[in-house]
Amino acid sequence: MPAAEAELAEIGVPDFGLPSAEPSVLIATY
Amino acid sequence: MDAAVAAGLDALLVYADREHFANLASLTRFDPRFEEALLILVPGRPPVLLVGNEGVAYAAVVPPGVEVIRYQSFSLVNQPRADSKPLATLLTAAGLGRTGTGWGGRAGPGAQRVGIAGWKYFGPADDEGAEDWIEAPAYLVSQVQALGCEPVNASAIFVRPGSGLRLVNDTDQIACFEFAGTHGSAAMRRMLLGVRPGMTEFEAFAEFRPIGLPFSYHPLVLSGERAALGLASPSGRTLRRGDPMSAALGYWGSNIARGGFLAESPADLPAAARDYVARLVAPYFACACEWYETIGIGVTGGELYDLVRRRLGDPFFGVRLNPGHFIHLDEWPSSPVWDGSDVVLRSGMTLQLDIIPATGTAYHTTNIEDGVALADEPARADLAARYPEAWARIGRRREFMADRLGIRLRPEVLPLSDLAGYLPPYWLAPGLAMRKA
Repeated sequence: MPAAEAELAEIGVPDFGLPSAEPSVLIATY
Repeated sequence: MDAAVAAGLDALLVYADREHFANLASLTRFDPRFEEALLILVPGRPPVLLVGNEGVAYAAVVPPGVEVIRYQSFSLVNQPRADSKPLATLLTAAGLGRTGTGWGGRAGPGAQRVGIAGWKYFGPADDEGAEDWIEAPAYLVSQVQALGCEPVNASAIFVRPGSGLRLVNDTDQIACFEFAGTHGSAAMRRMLLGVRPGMTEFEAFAEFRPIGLPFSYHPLVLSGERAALGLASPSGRTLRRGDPMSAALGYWGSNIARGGFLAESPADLPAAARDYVARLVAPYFACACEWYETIGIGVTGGELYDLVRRRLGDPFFGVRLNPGHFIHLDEWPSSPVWDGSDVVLRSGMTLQLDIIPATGTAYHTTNIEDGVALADEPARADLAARYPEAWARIGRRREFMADRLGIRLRPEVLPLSDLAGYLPPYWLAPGLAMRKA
């Protein structure tokens, strides 16, 4: 693999938020 | 039932236990927890679900129209057995066998060719004649035979790549999997941000702070010499700087896994693996990028296999299992990815990027397993309309992958995990991750 294809960088840890509620079908399932 | 009839079956029995629950749960919402259960489907008759003593109350989750019957031999050993009818009687009443009369005494011929769906199906690659193997308890098979029926393995109806019923999901199912993937990736994020030298594996695992969704396998945090065990549960081993690490957590419908080192920089790595990123992680990440950018509707599993073999075929990488598989309530229902596979990926499928190097060397492994759903334009519109929060998260993940990591997904590829594409080789510097150069 050419070394230039990928590199380390300061990206941070992705966090796109948690659901406010579960899909309604889950409530009945569990 | 249409699929069973198309397969030439007169009836379909869906057997389930704690490990092999997904076929039954996808049909009825009921999984047998720690007992066993059997769904009996005969065309023209009401579905019948046999459950053990402790499954009766939980069976309230099944849809209307499913008749729930207590069959106590599905209960734990030494629990009461006196209040249920013999299995042969229940099967006959449900419509099986020459004398089958249908539940409630309705008249009608009994089913003769009876499919039994356990978990796996088999073929010539397993053994000569293995297609006749049935993966269900011997007592169930013998009872079906005693009724004069011909039992056949019907598991492929659910999980055969290209036709399996559980391999194409509706919008609601995808939303459930996204919910699981979101929480699973949040747990992995918490662990990666919290793990430190001096913790035990137990303490590192506790950083997951799981929310109580059921797991599809035993979740793990492994370190040092235990990392090579791969499947073990955490122990009291104390983590040391420079340890190889593996971690994985799979709520039903998701699996989030990472591999790396408890290190801040190359200086913390074992001397024999100081070039870990250049030698293993960078080529692995480049392969994962191409996998992500290739997968889509109309792509064959063989194409995914070929790109991984082309990039990581060198024995050093030790990639030996299918580099990608379907995911459902169970973690691996089957895989469309093998050498020469012509299985075409379709809208509604959910798949895992599961490319796992097993170097067997000081380089340990690197791993970036997460799931995606494939959704055509109508499916995306439906998801966006009915699950706007999930749709917004998916959009933010796609933007992150494109803008920060350089991974450009096809429009139909929906990342179900916050961590899709995020590969931190040094777990003590989790903000440092790979991107396309």
